[in-house]
Amino acid sequence: MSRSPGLRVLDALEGVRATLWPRPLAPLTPWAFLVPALLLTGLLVAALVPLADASLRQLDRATFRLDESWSLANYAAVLARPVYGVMALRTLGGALIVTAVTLLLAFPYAWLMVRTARPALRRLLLISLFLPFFIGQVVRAYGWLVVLGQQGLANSLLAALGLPPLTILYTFPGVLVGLVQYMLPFAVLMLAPALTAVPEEVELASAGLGATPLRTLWRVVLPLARPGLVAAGVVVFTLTLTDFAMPEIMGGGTNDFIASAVYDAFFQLGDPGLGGAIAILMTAVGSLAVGAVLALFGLGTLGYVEERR
Amino acid sequence: MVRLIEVSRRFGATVAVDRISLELARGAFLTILGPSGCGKTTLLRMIAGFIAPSAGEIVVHGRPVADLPPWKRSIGMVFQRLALFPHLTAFGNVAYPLQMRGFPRDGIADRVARYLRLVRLEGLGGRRPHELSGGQQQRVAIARALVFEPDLLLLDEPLAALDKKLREDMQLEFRRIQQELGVTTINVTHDQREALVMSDRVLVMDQGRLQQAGTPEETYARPANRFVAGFIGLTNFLPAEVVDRGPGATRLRIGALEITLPGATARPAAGPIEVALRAERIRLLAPDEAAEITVAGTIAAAVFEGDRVVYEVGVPALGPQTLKLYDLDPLGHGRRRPGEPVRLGWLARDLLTFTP
Ligand SMILES: Nc1ncnc2c1ncn2[C@@H]1O[C@H](COP(=O)(O)OP(=O)(O)O)[C@@H](O)[C@H]1O
Ligand SMILES: [Mg+2]
Repeated sequence: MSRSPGLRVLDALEGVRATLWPRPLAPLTPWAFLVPALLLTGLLVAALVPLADASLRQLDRATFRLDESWSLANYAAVLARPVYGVMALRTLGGALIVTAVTLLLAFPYAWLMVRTARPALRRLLLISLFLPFFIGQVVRAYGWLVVLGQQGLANSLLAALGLPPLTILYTFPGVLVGLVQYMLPFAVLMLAPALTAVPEEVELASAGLGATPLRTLWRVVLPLARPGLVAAGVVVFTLTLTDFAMPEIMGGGTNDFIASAVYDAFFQLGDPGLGGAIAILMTAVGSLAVGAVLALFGLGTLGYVEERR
Repeated sequence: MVRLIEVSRRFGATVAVDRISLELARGAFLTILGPSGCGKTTLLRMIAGFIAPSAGEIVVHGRPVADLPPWKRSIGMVFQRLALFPHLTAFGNVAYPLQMRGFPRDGIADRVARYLRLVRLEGLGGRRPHELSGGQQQRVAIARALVFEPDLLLLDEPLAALDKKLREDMQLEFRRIQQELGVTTINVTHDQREALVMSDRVLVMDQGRLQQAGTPEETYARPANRFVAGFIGLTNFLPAEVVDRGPGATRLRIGALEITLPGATARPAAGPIEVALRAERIRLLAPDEAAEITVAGTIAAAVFEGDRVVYEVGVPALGPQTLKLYDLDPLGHGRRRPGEPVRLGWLARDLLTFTP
């Protein structure tokens, strides 16, 4: 029997695998697949250790060295300074708003992309989705400056229509606009497979049984797409919570998120203890929020058991 | 009553449904029979309102439905892949159309229970679809399509994916429920047996076009054209020629055989034609047995199917092609072996003639 070159390569690899990973090891295979992920996660957790350690040592202003002994002074300092509280609230509130708005915009986009019968439209939607990835966050933010600046495109347009200019740049809403635009492709990419998994026939069935499109959306499509919605929401929320560049550029220093405070503590104040404390607090709040969401929607995120025939 | 008038549907260059007209009395059970891809699903989806016809009109109970969206039509549909709601229980699935159509809240539970009983699912209302067997899922789907007492029930090959035994049980079950409720039904299938078993009327379709409409018996006994003759039943086709067309009879030549067809047979045009002969009309003759038409042949192959043997017999007088026929009593006497000489017989009126 003649085999194709591709199959021969696979068979040769199979031989190598059989020698390196003989049958008795088979039960360990799933664990072996986990090793890279465990290593990566382990590395991240390990990096938290020196950070946590630093956060417990106060900076000696005289020598610019961290104390030998542990204390909660850095945490006390963070909690005592209202500026950090304001920043934290702004970050949390911003992340919530950005998550809600992004999901609201991403859902119809993903639905149309999955359901449209027109290949040309699907292609256009896909290309528009991936284009921002090629451009990068900083260039994109600069694009916003061109569009939203005091003499930008948007205001020229408003002026041409005889309307007063709008100040969006360097405001909180400006930061949110930039963030939503940045997060949208991530959300669409996570929602699309979830919606693909909802058979069109199920939507048709709902309509045939008497449900208007909005009722079908509410009673059938959203519940079935819930795992995708939760996953997309968690990703957008955590990415926004820790974002640095967009608030810096779009806010111009007036609307910093908490990541800027960490940056400033490390690189402006030269205080790794303070920076570590803010970072640890931010990580804790983010983890708690995600944990709460997963606990609330828990099993839904694992998807429904496939329909059996 | 349901009426379709010259309904067509195009997808780009393909004509999925081509000028189909039909009329269906209240309470009747119509089956649309045709091979995969002939436009059955498209036709049903137009009736249900999921896609619009490119041309033609659909009238349900005297009312054109073109401007009614699906949720305003009163049509229950069971889909090819059932399309149960996986996140709802069997009860939730069956209650859904009642909730959507604004049935009084306090009557819903009783109504759902009644329909679950009708499809013999008492006690299983709390299960999700994936906790039910294939046959039970079918029953949920049919209860869900019927519970709001629609004007019309559409079945899009819901039984196609089931194994043979379960499929045949469910065919009888669907028929029982349909007769119990008297709901007007259009069933769609590519399974000729199902069409003949279940329906009052059969409509045969091919490539989007209507081939024949009639009762199951008519469709089987008097196929309107070669496609229908070939699609329903096991049919032998032989090339033939019209030799002579008299006033009361037609003389045909099939290979070396000359046959006179009685006047009642549909008269073929002069020239080359095709003759169809159903496998079960051919008899394997005992040595001394006579028949209206007899030919001699040799067994080429024999396939035992339990309740019957399918023989392929080479008949030199008819040309190179073999004839397929059944022995319906294979255990009653000895099996013929390949190479064994046999005599075959049939009646002249069993020959169906088609102009190619
Ligand atoms: N949405 C569609 N777009 C393009 N072609 C379609 C579409 N739906 C059906 N068709 C075509 O129409 C024909 C009939 O399809 P269908 O109604 O599904 O047949 P059946 O249900 O009898 O198998 C097929 O050739 C199919 O490819
Ligand atoms: Mg179909």
